[in-house]
Amino acid sequence: MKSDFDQEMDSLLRGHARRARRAFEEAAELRARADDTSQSAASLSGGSMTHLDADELSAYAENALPAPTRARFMSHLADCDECRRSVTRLVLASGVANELEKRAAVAPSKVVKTPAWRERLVALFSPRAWRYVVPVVALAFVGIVSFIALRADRESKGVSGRAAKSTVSTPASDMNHAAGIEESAETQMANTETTSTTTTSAIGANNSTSTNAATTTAHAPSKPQQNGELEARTDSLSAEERKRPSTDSQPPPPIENKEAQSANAPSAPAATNNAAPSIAPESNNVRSLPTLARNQQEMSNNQQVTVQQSNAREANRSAMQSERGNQTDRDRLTQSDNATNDAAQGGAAAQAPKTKARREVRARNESETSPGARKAQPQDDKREKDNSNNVVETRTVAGHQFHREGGAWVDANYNSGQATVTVKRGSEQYRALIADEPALGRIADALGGEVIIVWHGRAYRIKP
Amino acid sequence: MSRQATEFEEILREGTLRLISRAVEARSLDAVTLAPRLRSICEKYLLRDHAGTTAQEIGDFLDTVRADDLCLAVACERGDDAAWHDLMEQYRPTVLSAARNASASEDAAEELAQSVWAELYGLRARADGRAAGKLAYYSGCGSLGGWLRAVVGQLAVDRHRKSARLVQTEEASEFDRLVQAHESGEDNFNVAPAPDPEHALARRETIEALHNALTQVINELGAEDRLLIKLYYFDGLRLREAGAVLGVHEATASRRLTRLHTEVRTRVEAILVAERGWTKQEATRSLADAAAHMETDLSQLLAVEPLTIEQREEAR
Repeated sequence: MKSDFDQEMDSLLRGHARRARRAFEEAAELRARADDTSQSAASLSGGSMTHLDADELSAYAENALPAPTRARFMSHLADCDECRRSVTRLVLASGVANELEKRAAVAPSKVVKTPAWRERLVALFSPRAWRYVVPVVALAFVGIVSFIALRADRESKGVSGRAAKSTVSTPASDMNHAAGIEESAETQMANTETTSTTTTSAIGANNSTSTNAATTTAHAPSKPQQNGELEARTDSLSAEERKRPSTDSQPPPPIENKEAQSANAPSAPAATNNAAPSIAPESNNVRSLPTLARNQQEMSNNQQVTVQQSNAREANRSAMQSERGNQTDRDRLTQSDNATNDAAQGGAAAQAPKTKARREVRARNESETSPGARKAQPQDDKREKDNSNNVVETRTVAGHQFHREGGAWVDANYNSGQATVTVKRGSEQYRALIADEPALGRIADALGGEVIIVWHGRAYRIKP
Repeated sequence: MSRQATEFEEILREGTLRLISRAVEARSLDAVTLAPRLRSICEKYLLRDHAGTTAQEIGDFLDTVRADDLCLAVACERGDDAAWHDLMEQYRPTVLSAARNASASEDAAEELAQSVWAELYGLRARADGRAAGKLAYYSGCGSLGGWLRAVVGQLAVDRHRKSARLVQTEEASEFDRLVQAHESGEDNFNVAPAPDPEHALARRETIEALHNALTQVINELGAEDRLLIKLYYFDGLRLREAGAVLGVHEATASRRLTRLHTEVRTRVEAILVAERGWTKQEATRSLADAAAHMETDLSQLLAVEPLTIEQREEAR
């Protein structure tokens, strides 16, 4: 910055300022000798014609003025040395410079990110980049489509096999065909004439049965069921139906109201089914039952696969976490064992690390299973530390010794009975305090969190 | 009451209610008590400088008023003992710290602080018998702590003025003493005499012209630019501090100062060309010479030890 300065102008302005300051002080001396108190009287009253009053000065110093008023005050300050010096003292005392630096420290990182991100995005879509990006995107798209197609094909083969077995039951379900596609799906799931009717009657022939079919699939085993089991499952389906909210805003109508069901049928499948778009508003149309059943089976299988996959992922994740924890424990035990072996001649002292490590592992395992374990752990560590070291956590900052007490750093000179001034970090009082006592602010910053400091015979509780 | 006045009163009432709801400790104050204070604040800081203030601007301005500080000040004004206790408890360190900064000794600081508390409480009585304290002048725009510091500072200046002492830093007074002694030739800091008296006279006239041009150019600058020049050169602040007074970062202040150098140079040269009849090259050279002359004087004036006889001989 300094290298850009016009050194000649800098010297000229400094010389000019010296000369002007001399002239001002000579004039001030003359005023003082003349015992002119007009300016002094005006300085403390509100709305002074010549000087800014205390309220105006403090409001300007804290940048708490509307823009036009601030501009007016700025014009006065440019010409009034006394007010300018007063406001300078207030500005420096209020720590405005530090606030500006903090804001500047935060702002550039935000500014830098956006252009870099934009630049990268622009670069990505630049014609040159498309040479490489387009083939990659195309390949990825082709791969995804192929994967989905293969998967669908595989499942459809499995569904068609099952559908061929269940074609015997379809004539019986023709009676309930008007109730919707889901009835036929339920019929095929039941795999017998009587069971299909039972299923249909239990579930109802409505829009939400597509979701219910998925629910059934998710909770019921995939193998065909016997009649007794099917009835039990039907009962459970009923219960599930009651529990789960229907995708349709209206509750499922009774089975007897087939007309209403058929009227309601079109909307639900489209609302609930993402995996089988073929089952849709055309439910009233006559379709081939095997095809419809196959589609429904695909949908239920997809959801079953999804649920199974998510369950498997959860199991893997928890297994990995426990394995990691066990590995950590094994490492610690190994280390402590090594320490024990190294100090084998030490006898009881060598046993201590191993014992301690095992104790820690045991404590951790217990804590992982108990609720609120995380809150307990720091205290366990502190107690362990206390037990092993037999000392309370202390720190010394700027010649003041502090000890940890109940989450706060407490000055060794603090007496709980003495009057304490509570100040919250970031508050006006705190800013005033650290402006007056910068060392106190440095101590508070060094310790962090809640701090009780005895400063010049007064106790201050600085809260976060 | 005119429609505008009615609308303003309505906005004021709503702003007062919001202020009371914002306050953590409203100290049993109501809108009727606070409205007059807020009205005067609006007239002082908002309506005076901007005639076309909208209702939104008034509302936003009222929402920036420090609710708790204002309620505390008003409650103290009304003689609330609990409020006074809180005021002294919270701001005693602030007042004492400001008093120490403005006083030469601890005793003087204590006395100044006590004077401030007395001024705040009010030594005179109003017509209704209540004490007339300075808390009535606190608007709530800035913090109460900052206002108290300003009051302490002004009271200290007032005392110094009454005792016929100039308020200035020791460095400045010593520096100026050296300058005065140097100019009057009373000191031992002798510089090499000009080889030609006419040349010395010409140089003095040039410097005088430069100072006049600088004064004119600085006075013609915008308020913000003029304030920056005054803060940095006249008050001797660092760029970081000058920027803080302006409400900008140090880097911004530096860039502005660099721009001002160029602008001032251009305008000073233009004045010298127009009023002195110099050419541009002559004006530029004069500026360079004057700057060099000032640097020489400055380096010698800042010498700690007086020159020995041998050093003075060498300077000649």
